[in-house]
Amino acid sequence: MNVSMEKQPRMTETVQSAPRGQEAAEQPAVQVSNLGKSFGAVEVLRDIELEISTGEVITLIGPSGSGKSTLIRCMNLLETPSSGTLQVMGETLVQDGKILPKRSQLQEFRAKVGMVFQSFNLFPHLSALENISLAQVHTLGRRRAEADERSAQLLDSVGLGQRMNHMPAHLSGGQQQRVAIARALAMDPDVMLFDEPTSAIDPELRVEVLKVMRDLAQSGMTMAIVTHELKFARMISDQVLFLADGTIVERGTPDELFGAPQHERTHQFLAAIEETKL
Amino acid sequence: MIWLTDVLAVIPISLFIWAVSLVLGAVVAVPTAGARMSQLRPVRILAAVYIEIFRGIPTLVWLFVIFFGLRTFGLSPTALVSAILTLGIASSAYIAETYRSGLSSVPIQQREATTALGLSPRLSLIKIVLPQAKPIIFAGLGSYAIHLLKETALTSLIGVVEMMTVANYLVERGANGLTVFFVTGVIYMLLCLPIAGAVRLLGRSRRQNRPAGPDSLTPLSTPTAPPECAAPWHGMRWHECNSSST
Ligand SMILES: Nc1ncnc2c1ncn2[C@@H]1O[C@H](COP(=O)(O)OP(=O)(O)OP(=O)(O)O)[C@@H](O)[C@H]1O
Ligand SMILES: [Mg+2]
Repeated sequence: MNVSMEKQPRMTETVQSAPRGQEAAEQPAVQVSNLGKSFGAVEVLRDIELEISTGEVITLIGPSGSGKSTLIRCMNLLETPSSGTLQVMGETLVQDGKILPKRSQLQEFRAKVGMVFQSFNLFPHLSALENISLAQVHTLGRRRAEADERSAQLLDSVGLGQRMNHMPAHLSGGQQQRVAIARALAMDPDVMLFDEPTSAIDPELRVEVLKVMRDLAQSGMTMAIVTHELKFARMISDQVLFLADGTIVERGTPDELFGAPQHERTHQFLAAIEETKL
Repeated sequence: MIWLTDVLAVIPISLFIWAVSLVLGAVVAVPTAGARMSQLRPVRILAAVYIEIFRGIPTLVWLFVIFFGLRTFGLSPTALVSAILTLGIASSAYIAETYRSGLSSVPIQQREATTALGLSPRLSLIKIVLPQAKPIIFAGLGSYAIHLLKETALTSLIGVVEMMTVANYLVERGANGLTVFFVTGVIYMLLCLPIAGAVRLLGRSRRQNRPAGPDSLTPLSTPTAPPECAAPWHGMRWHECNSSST
């Protein structure tokens, strides 16, 4: 994947965190502690400890079934953790496996955590623009005109200004995913979650999505990404976590984890991925 | 063919039974479908039992049960009321299943997307799920409405004065059975045609005739994804089911 990106200083980071004052610097955007998740009797996640600072980009990698999706879905409560604590932007959402906020507060919170799905999940009966405007109007209470203006702006910024009135079925996978990213960004989220955003896209179209994500990272967005694009992960991440069998086996900077993996399990996984590339 | 006017004269009665039963069924089907899809298992089971009882036992049996059976309890509904009650309740069971299959044809990921955007379940249903379920629901409703119109003929057996009753009467009075029944059958068929057309119009999505917009001339790239990836497929499904109703 040819997304060139030097690790640049995040210019907007200071801008973004400035109004939040000093607290923001100390308070991680997302804090997960001792989190566990079971589906019935099957334990899918256990003892997850994880912290994402404001403006940080973390990547979750790991074999299929290791619990990556479940973990990222716990972060916006699409799955309810069975145990442990979850804090987002300083607010405790889950304590000892119990969701604290009321339903209406939960909706507000969810809007603040953007989610991008592997299968895009655009609304097929709405145009690209309407897909992005819908929740702005109904969740944030923006006026339709204001929402549409913002949507058009966002579509422009993901390179789809010319596709505003297209229906999702008339867009390529890469284009649909960029609309989905714009849709999540329209909520002005504090954190963006990506669950294998390029896995369902033709290889030659992936780069256009990765570029958008790279730009987003550079603008200072706090991001958690599940991906198999290791090269991209290496370029974009501040922290990489290797998940296997529902636990974080190893974590570190991209150079540490990809360059000198400490655990046999990590080694095997990275080697296996290398092999499939041949 | 002077007898023909006698048959034509009671068309409004057949249509009345049909329309009232259909509306009754469509309304009662809403809570029934809701119960059938409830989070609560007992409620779900209760709804399933209701649906299977009314779908599994012949409508004619229910017609007799209600018309003759309710007398045991001191109730004596007229033939017309019994007819509407029976057909209405039976319809509610069928239509509830139509609603359910329409709603569950919308992939769960659509709801997840709305949840992630902070939309309430109610808005999610109104803005996202129902519009996508609509073509499927209307297709089911359409074929059921036609089926129901023919079912109204059963009500002649409890003495409702509708088309079949009149046809029977005429034949008993010496009219040619083959002609009378055949013509009556054709009348049923002709009545079904506009129903099918009307339902097709109602089910049509507002997008169907709408151009994609000023930028629609740009070449379209086909959505491609591995089969295990849901979205483009759902996109296709949506597309197909729209065009199939044209
Ligand atoms: N709703 C569910 N009910 C029961 N089991 C589930 C559910 N969702 C996930 N699981 C199980 O949890 C485990 C972890 O699943 P998860 O989807 O989080 O893995 P993953 O790391 O994202 O895998 P992949 O790379 O294939 O996407 C799997 O064994 C899966 O079968
Ligand atoms: Mg997954």
